[in-house]
Amino acid sequence: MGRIVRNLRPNEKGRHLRMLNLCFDSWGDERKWRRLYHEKGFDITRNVVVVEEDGEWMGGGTAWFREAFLKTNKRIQVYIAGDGYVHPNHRGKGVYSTFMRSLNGLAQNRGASLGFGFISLHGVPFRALPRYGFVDLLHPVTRLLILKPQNFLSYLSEQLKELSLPKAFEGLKLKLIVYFQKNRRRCMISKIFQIRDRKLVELGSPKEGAIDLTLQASASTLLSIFNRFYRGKRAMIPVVIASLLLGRLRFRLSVNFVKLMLKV
Amino acid sequence: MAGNKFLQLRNEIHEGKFRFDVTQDLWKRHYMPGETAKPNRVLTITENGKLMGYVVYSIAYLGRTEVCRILDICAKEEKDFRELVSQVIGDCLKENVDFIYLRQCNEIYEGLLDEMGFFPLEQSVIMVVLLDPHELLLSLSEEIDSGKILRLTLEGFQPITIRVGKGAIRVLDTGHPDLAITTDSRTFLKLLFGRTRFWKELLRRKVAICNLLHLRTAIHFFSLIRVEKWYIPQGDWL
Repeated sequence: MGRIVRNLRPNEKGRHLRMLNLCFDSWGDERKWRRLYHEKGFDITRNVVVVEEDGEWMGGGTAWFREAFLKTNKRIQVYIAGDGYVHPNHRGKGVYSTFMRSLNGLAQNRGASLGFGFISLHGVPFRALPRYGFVDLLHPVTRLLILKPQNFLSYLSEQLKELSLPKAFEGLKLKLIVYFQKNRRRCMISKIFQIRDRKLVELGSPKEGAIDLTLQASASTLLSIFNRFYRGKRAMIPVVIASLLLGRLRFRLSVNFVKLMLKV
Repeated sequence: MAGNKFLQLRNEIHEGKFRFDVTQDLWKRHYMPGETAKPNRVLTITENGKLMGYVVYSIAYLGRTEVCRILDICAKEEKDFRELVSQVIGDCLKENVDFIYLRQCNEIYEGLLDEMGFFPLEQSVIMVVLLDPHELLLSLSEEIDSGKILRLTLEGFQPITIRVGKGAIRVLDTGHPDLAITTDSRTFLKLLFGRTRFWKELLRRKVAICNLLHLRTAIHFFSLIRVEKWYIPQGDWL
């Protein structure tokens, strides 16, 4: 039978929702589905594509249509590509390519002049979409206000736990000092981590003297380094160097750490 | 308050910018308090019964962190913008929110959010694909009778014949061209959305022009179609 691209069938709403939640971890509930998939003029049997191979549901995507204002309020038809997913068992088999090409074709046939993708710099689409003609045109600025620094740092450290560090650093203790603006005043909080099984583990109350590396930065500097990290080590290096030169990132090394670095 | 008042204000403030036409249905669906677990919240500022500004935001959990996402904020004056942001902060403090974030394509009141303690972060991107350049240019086409004729060839698409007038362009069915421009769709999009300059792409050989005597016409053409500013608030992102 081979690979086919078809539209979603009216009786497959529930299955599609389950697929989205499986592939995106927690996409949302039926209320979110209704909000997005019941728009005026939106037809799941025309706007949602499914990629199937030998009867097996591999992935799919959705096209939302909008009118957009150009210069002097002239309008054009555009489409937004979204909810593109690939079943975990079928990743790396070209499913993404199949539905993205199909979505672009579908939008072209429906009179869209442009297609849009609103995506995170850290996800797969940022690397994948240029293959289907998408151009990185605008980087909207996200403005962040931290109200509870302690919780925010916990959120960051949760993300840091995902990192896999070199074996040579096993047992090292790191202290992270972060500065925040709170009520127009500068405040500081810190956390201590240890590398165990190549992962960063947060420590409760360690002895100060045992710290191997202390990093000190503002929340914004830390986040920009963190963001670049997701885009690859090469993207991170210039930000780290610039932050060091501008004094936005400071560090203190222990003799132990220096010895280890020389060995590595 | 009816959705159209919000939309009227939004269109008034952001006129001339590239933006989606948000219909009443879309507004109600994506911005108004709906049947979500935590409905969107709306704050407004009115003066003599007239809407001067509004903010729509939602508070939700992101893992174990409680986050406030500003979906759209519009205000005619800086003081109203500041007031709306302050009210959101006040509400979030009451609700024990951990952080607030707001995404803007072009900042309207530059420096204001910095002053209020927000810091910038590069986290998302808007990517665009060109599907039908003929339809796109046809939407910008106006009834003009004089001007040089340009043939635009974009790789992968049929050539388009365009008359380039003083203040407008017109897509023609036929016509003997005075000049021809060849480029790829990526460069065309960058030129259309003001991400690059014609000169730069010409020097990089991303754009080819057959008759350099008409270089001014080519530059003028791109300045006529160029979109400089955007307004696509987070609530429009889906």
